[in-house]
Amino acid sequence: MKKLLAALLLAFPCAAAAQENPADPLLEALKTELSRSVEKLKDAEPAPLYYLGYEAYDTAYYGVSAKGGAIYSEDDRRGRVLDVDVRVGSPALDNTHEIKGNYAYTNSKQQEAAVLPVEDDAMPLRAEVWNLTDRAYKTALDQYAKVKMNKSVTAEEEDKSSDFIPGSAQAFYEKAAVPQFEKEKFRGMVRRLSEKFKPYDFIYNAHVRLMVQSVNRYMVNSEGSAIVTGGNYVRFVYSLYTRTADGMGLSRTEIYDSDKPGELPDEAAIAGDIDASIAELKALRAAPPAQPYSGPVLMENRAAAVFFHEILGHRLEGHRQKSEESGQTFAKKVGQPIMPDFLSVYDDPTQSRQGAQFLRGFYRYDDEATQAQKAVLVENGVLKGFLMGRSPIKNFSASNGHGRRSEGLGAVARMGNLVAASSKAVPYPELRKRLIEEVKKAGKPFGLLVRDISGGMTITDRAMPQSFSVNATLAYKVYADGRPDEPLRGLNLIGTPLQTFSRILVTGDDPGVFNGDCGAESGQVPVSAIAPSLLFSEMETEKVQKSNARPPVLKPPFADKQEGGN
Amino acid sequence: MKKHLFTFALALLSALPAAAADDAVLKAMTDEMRRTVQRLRMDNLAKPYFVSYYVEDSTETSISAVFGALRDDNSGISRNARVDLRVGTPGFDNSGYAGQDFRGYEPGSAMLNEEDGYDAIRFSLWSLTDDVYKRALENYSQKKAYQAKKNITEHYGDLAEAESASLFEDRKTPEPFDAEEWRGRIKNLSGLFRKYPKVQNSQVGFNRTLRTARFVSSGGASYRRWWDGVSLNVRATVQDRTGLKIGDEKDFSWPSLAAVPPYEKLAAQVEEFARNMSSLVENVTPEVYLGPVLFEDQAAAEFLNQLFVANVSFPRTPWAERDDYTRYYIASGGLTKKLGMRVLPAFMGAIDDPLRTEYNGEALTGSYPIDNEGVRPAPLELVRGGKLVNFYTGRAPVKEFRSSNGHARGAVNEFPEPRPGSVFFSAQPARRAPYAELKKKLLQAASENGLEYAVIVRRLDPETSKDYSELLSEPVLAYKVNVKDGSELVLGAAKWAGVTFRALRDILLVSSTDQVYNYYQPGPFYYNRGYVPASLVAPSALLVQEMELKPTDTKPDRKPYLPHPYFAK
Repeated sequence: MKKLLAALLLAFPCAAAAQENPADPLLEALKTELSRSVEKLKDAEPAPLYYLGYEAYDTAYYGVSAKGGAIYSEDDRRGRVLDVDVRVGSPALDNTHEIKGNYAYTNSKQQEAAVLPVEDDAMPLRAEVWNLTDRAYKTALDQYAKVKMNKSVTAEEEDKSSDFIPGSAQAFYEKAAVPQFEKEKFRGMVRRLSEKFKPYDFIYNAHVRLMVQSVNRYMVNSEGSAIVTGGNYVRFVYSLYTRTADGMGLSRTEIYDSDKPGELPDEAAIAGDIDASIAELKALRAAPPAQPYSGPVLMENRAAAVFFHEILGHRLEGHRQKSEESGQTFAKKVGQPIMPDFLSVYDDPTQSRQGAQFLRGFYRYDDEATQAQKAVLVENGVLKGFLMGRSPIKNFSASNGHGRRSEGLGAVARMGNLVAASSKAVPYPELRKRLIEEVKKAGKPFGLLVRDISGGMTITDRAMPQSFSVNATLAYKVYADGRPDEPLRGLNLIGTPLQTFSRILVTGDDPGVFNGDCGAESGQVPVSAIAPSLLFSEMETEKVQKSNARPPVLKPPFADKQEGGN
Repeated sequence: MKKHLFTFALALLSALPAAAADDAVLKAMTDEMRRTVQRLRMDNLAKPYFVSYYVEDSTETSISAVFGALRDDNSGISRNARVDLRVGTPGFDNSGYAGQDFRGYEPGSAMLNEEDGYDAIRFSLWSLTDDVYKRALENYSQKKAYQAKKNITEHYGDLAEAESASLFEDRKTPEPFDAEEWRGRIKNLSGLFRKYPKVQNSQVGFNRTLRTARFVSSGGASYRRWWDGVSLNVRATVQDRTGLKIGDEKDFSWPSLAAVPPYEKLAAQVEEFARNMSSLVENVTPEVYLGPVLFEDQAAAEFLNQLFVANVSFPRTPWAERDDYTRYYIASGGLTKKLGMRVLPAFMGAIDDPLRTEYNGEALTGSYPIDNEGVRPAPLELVRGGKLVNFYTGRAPVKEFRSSNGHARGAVNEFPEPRPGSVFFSAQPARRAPYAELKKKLLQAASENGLEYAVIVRRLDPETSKDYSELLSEPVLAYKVNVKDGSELVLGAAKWAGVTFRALRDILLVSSTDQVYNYYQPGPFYYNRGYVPASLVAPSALLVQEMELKPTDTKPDRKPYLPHPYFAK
């Protein structure tokens, strides 16, 4: 153990406390209860408690939104939540082991969490920690008994890796301070910007919102770690919505992310973007619904970043490679090419910015008290590894600091900042030219330019086909004969991951950032993805499902000039 | 139809009173309602024949504390709207039909801008109204088909005539609220549990909400009114000697900060609660008991609330495609089918009077000047000489009553349903007795039945925790009383067996003193229980001739592995 610790310190000399560690009552309360619990519980039952970890989230949130020129809602909250991770049995087999067979449906990352007092008073904090620890320990004992029996009555797993990677003691202290800013200034800004949508009678809903969140995470565990790490997340969003006569809902959303309210674009810049979004929505609404298409596609950088996140990133989450319920698209492909050799992909949560742009996926420690590390996933087209938390898989027995979760869920391997880099990159105008060449080569009248996509879905469950379908929310026809581009609405990009990646011909030299919140079985976590624009020789589309709801009967009141209107 | 049109025209012409003219929210509601009735029509489908908007503003402060420290401290403002839009005729319209999706049986409601903004409010109302109108058209045709399919001939209409009442209150300056002082009080109250080592988990919560409600209807009724609510909630969990976890909570509510008793009184109540919870740990195992029961304090009030008040509420059940929906989703008014029959002992009566604001100096939270449908209430006699003479109604007609008695109430996201305001129970003096006398009679009755002990119940679980198939929630604080010497032992967890409405008629004797019980009545649908403030003024103890208790089926848990950190010192 000592040796390992020394090695770790060598490897990460910056792991030493980043701030002076004052007596932090919450941290002390967690430590005190941890040692009391470990002492008493480790041998309390025949199944030993071999790991106990606490993670407390101390969150401050401020949000203000406006609609139609007036404040819609304003929220100022502070709260603390505690997660308790209890492992009984041994790292080889413990209570978190996946259940197989008839009871596989009971697998869940859901765990009980507790609300902690926001005040720093030791005894009330400890009382709540004690309460949750007792409940979590009893649940773990019960689950461990079920796991053992399930293992005896079901067939052996293909991947016989153990359940947990032991870690080393980590010490780190760096709290994020709640950003200070003028609320009145932002109130005025959201009010004024939300006025901009009023003159347009085709906009059926629109809002403008500012969200400022500050999260400090406190982690202590029975391996001796004591970590306090925090981050600030500032987000400014506007969105506008309309519906077509044939019942299709269309929207435009723009999101600005930062870690400092002062670094958001100024009001005039956002106002300019709003004007552009209104024009885009108007054009989309007037566009004919898209027909299924198969042919060359140019996907712009931000959309490409989302695409990598959805189609590749989720499939490279380590735990999925051993789950008997997962499709395991890439489990057996390590060392093999999975995409063109000019592409490399890695995930690096330690990167806080891309140029000036703040990355939401930045963090120093994951939720399993492991230091964040760059994980090389694909090198020159060849699959090298996976995103790893502390659940080992065949041939990969170390965490690379990607065990993440939101409150009340068990951590699994997740992305932080997923980066796709290219060595075959051309400037964007050149890429567009190449698209037209491909269109001509394929004998098609037009190719597709995809500027924005929304999450959509990617299926990783084994029970379903391993395909994806993502909604292209802003796409254009690019004509081979030089006619102006025409907007298209209502199309999904579909395909299977391996085939689709093999069709990337060349990329742009324009890495673009997508900042978002990613949802999976371990909850919502802030992430980023970075990718250049991509040119595909061929991609398929299908029509989206639409609601069939008709547009409103009357015009919006302030756009209604008839009797009874404004 | 012509007549209806005429009524509309009249209603629409009436402008808002001068007092409300500068109210941007009310003006937006009125203007959008006018546009809706005049112009909202899809193709050649039906126009709405009635529209109303109800908008409720809340400014809320919530503080909670555990074991002497603040747990949450939040405040927020919200504004929500409900729209009632009818197509068809008052005789038969789209209302009262749940169809295939019972959980979807909710009125059209939406969040509105919390800031006053005429354009913004109107925009949201327009958007909501459009959705609701399209849904109403579909509902209307489905309801017609359902009526035909089920061959329903007994139907008394959907919207009763009502006077066009209007009321415009100006909000009084809110009482001064010292948040810091209240934080201190709540922390201190929660810290009292440091004296009670048997309590495993506890929490004290405080809430103060200032509300303003606005209403306009195409029938001509309109109002603006305001009310405040202050509440305190105390919760605790203990584990009894067998390992059974027993959790309970005590709620207090007042219509203003001024009505809240001084800190010392609150502290005494919290301590009494903590003591009672602690006493549950060393209990005696319950056996099956069949005999007289004395209900006291909260248990006496909840006995009357759950068995009587809840069952003279909610007389009309929505139509649903599957009959079992109503069984699983509705706490229905079981006594409304017993009009003219004995429901209480002949020596008791009951009147609901929402206009009374206090009783013997104690404020009543159940008071209101106008209901959610814009109908003014008046004193309503419910029971005379033990017989049910009235039950609550709104504007949805029922067989027995075709008009509203001003009791349609509900939270903003639920349909207004006939519910209580402030209920006053009375009893003939000859059947009232001091508390000591009641206890003596209890022991006497038990002894005459050949029993060695009788039962006193002082707390019942909250109404919302009872099983949908039961009429009365389980006792939390029940005592086994020795018939020889009146000594009391706490009973372990037990539940009622076979409670019927007969229990109400079996009241033998009541206390000579009355209590004021302010509470929140849960709504009729299990999936969406909106609460309205209500009050009972009733005898503080009731001696019931015969009830049956049996041990609980709940299984105990293991005790904690470690002692509570504070008490382990």
